Amino acid sequence: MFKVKYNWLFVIVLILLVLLIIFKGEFVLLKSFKGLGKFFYKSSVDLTQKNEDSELKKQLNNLKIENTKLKILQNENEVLRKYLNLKNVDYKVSLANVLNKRKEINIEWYLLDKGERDGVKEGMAVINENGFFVGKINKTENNFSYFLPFSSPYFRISVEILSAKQTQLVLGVLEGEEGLALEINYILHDAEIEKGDKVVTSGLEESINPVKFAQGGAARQSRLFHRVKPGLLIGEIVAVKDDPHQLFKKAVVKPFSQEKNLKIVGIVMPAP
Amino acid sequence: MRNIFIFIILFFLFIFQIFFLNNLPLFKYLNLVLIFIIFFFLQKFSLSLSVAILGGLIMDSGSFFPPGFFSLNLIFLCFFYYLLAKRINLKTLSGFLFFSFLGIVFYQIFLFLSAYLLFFLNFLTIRPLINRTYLFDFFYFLIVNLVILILFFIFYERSHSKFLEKRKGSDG
Repeated sequence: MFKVKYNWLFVIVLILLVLLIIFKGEFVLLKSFKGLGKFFYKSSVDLTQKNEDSELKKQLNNLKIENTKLKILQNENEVLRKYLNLKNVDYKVSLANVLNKRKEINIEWYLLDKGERDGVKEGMAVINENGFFVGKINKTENNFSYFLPFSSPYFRISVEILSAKQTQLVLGVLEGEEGLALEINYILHDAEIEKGDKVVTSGLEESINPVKFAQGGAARQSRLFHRVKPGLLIGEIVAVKDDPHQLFKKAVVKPFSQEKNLKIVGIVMPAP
Repeated sequence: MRNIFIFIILFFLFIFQIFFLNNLPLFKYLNLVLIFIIFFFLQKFSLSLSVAILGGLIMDSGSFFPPGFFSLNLIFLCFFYYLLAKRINLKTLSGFLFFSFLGIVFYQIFLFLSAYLLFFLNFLTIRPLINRTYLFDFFYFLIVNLVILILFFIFYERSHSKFLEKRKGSDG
């Protein structure tokens, strides 16, 4: 039984082969298989294309990574270039990297990679790449220093208001506040200030730290401390609060810089 | 060996928290050191104390406060928690929730008081303030850490009960 079947199969295959040779591949049966072949071919092509695609994708991803790295470098370069372009200033700027930003018990601080070894002293001003004031060094260590941003509620600094109307010195105390605006307190009532007046550091404050003063005396104090450089631009006045029942005027200041996302900052050093 | 492995992981976790998570909007309220100190009270006091020492030392690095501020505070807090844990049943969710709540509140109070003490002793130039921002941060800190601690407790209880069931099954 098996032998008969086997013989028949052999005959059929032989006939098919003969017909295949005669019609040069254009056999009727093959037409019906065309769809299937096409499917297989397509899938195989897809498969090879996928391989090629994955190669291309890999290259594209590599390029993306490279591009991002270049962009980061470009941004950094731009920031550094801006610091270099700070001309017409009578101070030296020492650049420092921001290592960390932390907030504990409502006290927010930035950790910088420059310390006493690099000549950083408490009370020195910190500026951004545009030369705008962003904070003040509050603590120094040998290799590190900490600065308090002006948005901290603990921040206080003596400022001068460059009044358009008045030629006399207008002073006040800028107090840190979280949010978009800051407030200047203790402005004398007769001071003529208005919206749009610029606010700069006055450099009049006495940077005396009672802790260090008690620990090391006046000599150590003078070595470690520094007054904030006068004339550093902070912002402009957006509103004046003048209450006749109050002893002093108040002013709301919009700072020119936002201290968020700082990566590189400049520490204002005395000119050599 | 297992404990060493846990401590290596915790070391990197704490570093990650202080140098990365602290800069993110909501995650800045997360305090993994405190979470693990409270969580390990479910297992062993010595484990909590070790976490307090390790976490405190990491928190002290790059800190504005005098050296040892966080580590000493956390060690002191650990002993305080130990006394507290004796009076509360930590096996139940409500008990653990109450313990965690007290733990987080006391952490904030202890830190604030010790910062104030340092200011009076002339070791700190800044006088800590209680203002709107502080209270806002306090509230967020409490909520975020409490939620994470509850999740930890639920996960721990589930895995613990499964482990006990398996053990019973194998014994039976």
